[in-house]
Amino acid sequence: MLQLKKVSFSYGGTPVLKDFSLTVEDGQAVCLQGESGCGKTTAIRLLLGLEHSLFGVISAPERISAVFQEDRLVENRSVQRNLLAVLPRTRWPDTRHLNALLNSAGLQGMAHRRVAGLSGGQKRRVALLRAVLYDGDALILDEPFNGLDRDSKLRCAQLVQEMFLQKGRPVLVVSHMTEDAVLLHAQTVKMVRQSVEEQ
Amino acid sequence: MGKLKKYQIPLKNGISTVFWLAAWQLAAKTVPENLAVFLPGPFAVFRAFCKLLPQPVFMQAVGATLLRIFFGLATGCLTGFALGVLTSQFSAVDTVFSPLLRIIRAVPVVSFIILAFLFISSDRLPAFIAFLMVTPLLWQTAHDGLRSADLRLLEMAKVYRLSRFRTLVEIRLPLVASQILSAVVSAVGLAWKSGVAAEVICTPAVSLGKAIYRAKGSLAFDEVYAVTLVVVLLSLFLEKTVKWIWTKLTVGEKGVR
Repeated sequence: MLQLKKVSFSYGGTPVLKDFSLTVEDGQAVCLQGESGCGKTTAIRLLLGLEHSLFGVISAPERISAVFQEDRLVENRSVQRNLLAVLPRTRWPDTRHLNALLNSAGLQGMAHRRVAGLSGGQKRRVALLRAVLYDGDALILDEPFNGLDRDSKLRCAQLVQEMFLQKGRPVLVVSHMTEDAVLLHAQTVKMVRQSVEEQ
Repeated sequence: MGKLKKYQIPLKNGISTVFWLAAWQLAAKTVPENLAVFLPGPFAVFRAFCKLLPQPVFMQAVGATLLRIFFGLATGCLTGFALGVLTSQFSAVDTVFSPLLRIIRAVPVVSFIILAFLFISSDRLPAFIAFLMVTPLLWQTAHDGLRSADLRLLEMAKVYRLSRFRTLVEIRLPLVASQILSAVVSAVGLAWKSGVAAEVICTPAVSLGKAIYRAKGSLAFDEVYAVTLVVVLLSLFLEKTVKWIWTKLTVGEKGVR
């Protein structure tokens, strides 16, 4: 379960979240929507442990898979190397498993391609595959389907369904696109400045 | 058009080389007779070069100098890189070593040669001097590069719970790889310049530095230029070798069982 309970947070005196609460149950997908600057990214940064709040309760699993707003890949390394970077050597998959995973995201034959040479959509899918391969106990996605065509979005949504939701793990998505919530069968939560209202 | 473009760069280089050789020849011809011995023309230098090459003693000197410079370069690169990694990761190591490395970088090479000659044999001194010149260069590059890693990638490493060592290997080092290669290529030239200067001053028995010193003593300046040409060619050879090794090391990344 991912949970923020009455959490308040401010950046250098500017309040971003005030008594903010959100719960994503195991096996549930929640899509967080709202205008820019309302604190969506701050909420996920708190859950990922990248920011710390003195007020409220945050509960999240230790191992969380994440796809950030930017791809955050090492550009001068290969796709394969970027994927394996987040795993301990003892958990590295065999070639067949890795190729199957690449195929499922429409990245067949790209294991040894340098990330710098990939298109924006391909990089996005590598970032998502990295999260899937890490196999965290929860998944947090920030604008995950940016730059993807309809077919790629469907493939990626299916991967998230199979690897996280069907295994009973919570998924939190931040997206401006209502379509993303529909693809992931996610419950939409609209966030407004310093509060939250559920649809 | 495509074919023409292919030959454009070699053609430009060829024209430039011919221009400078012609300028050199002209300068050699116009220099006053009493100074002509100090500026032989390119043909005289080439003749001296061809005369030196088949001599076993000269080839021994080439081998010995190449070995010394390569040893100083390799140990300097490895030490500088290792120190760069350590000083970028541990502030205590940074506090101890950084001032020393900055001083080494600022001290004139000739001071080091004269001081080190008191303690180190002439055979080993050139390698030591090359080592001293190369180490701070690699240290600074590795240190600065590793310190200025992309914060967003470091956040990703934190979320994925990578250890300090894995973060270094998987994120920080790949980001500085191209800077390290540039530093190593610059280090090749630096190692040759400082190493041969040390050889000229301390004259090891078998060395190109001694060949330069001896030729200068007997006013055979065509030979001085010819040995210098050999040093330039060896430096280019070592530079190409370093780039080749780097390509072999970085292409074809492995990682799946």
